[in-house]
Amino acid sequence: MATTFELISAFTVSTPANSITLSSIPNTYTDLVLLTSLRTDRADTGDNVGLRFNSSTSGYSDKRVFGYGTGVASDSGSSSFLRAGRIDAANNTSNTFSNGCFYIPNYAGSTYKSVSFDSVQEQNGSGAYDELQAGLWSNTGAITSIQLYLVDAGFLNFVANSTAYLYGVKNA
Amino acid sequence: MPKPTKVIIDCSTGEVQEIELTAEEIQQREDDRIAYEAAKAEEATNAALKAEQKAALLERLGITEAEAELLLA
Amino acid sequence: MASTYEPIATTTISSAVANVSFSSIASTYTDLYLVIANLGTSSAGQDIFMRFNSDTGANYSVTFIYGTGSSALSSRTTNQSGVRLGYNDSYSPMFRVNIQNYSNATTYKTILSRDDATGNVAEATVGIWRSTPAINTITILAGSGNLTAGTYTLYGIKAA
Repeated sequence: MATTFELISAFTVSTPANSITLSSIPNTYTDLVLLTSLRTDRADTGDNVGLRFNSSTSGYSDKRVFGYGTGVASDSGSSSFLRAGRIDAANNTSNTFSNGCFYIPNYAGSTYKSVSFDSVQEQNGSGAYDELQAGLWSNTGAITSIQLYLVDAGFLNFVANSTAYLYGVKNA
Repeated sequence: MPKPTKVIIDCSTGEVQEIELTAEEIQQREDDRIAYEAAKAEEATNAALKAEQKAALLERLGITEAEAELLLA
Repeated sequence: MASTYEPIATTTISSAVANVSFSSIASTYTDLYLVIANLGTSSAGQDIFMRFNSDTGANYSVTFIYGTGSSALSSRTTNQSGVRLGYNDSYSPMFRVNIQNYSNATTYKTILSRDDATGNVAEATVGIWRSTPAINTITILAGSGNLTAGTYTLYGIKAA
């Protein structure tokens, strides 16, 4: 029987990098699952990640609900990228990486692409973000690449040992 | 007028069937619709009442909504 | 090696039906995982519900947290005739539902659901079906009107 949940690509940052791109994604699965564990080297208490499909800089929108330890809020985004969470930076608890899970159904189909995204920016201190996000890429093309990059201005990178694992899910 | 249908996927075989609802199922559907729309109407009424009460309180306190959120943050 | 994560059944609908059901679900898995992509309903702005074993009694309750893009809210409904999974808008909403320990015949059944409707809400729900039989049928339906679109896929997850 065909494997239902299969690793497509596993990437671990060895040299600090401003972005991670998973390319040449085959169209042979039904859904995609992207699991990330990320941290930056910038002297701050959090950095924002953006996600783009197929290098496209248009058609992204999202709604999220999030908590940050002392409050809860919700906002909407509409931009040249999909917001992909707030992650630990150099001034957060050491050796702590933020986790993200993206579920992208029907990624190779001809409808707009929905993204279900959950992320946590945990640390042993205040100001850690916990997010639930509904995302949408209003594009009917099949997803063939996914780029994660650091949105905030300045010279900053994903540190070594940051990871991105892409899985394919088959429904038959 | 065609009867409403439902889709059943038999998980033991993978077979997918589209079949008409029975009279009982049609009635259940109608009962569900009535209950759902009543619940939604009550939700909307409660939300409107809450908004009214909030506006009245803000006016009594002499503060804006943004100022209230700041106080509660 | 036994397969841990298996597709059980799937269907895609493109015309109006009253509901979509997965029947004759084997008891051989540990948990179930349901994914609904691009769900559509005959009228916009419908809540989406799930029922187990055709139980239409007031045996379901949920607590949910959601963000509308301007407000973060939580709510609860009890004694409903279905588990509310979330809300459908017209922007290709998707649902992911975990149904743990579904074949246990001695406990009430709980679900964890995520609803992503970008035009309206990001939402997480915990629900309970106050009934102990093993789940052998899952029915998805709209609060009012028909389901008109979507790919509905049920997966089984084995713990060993």
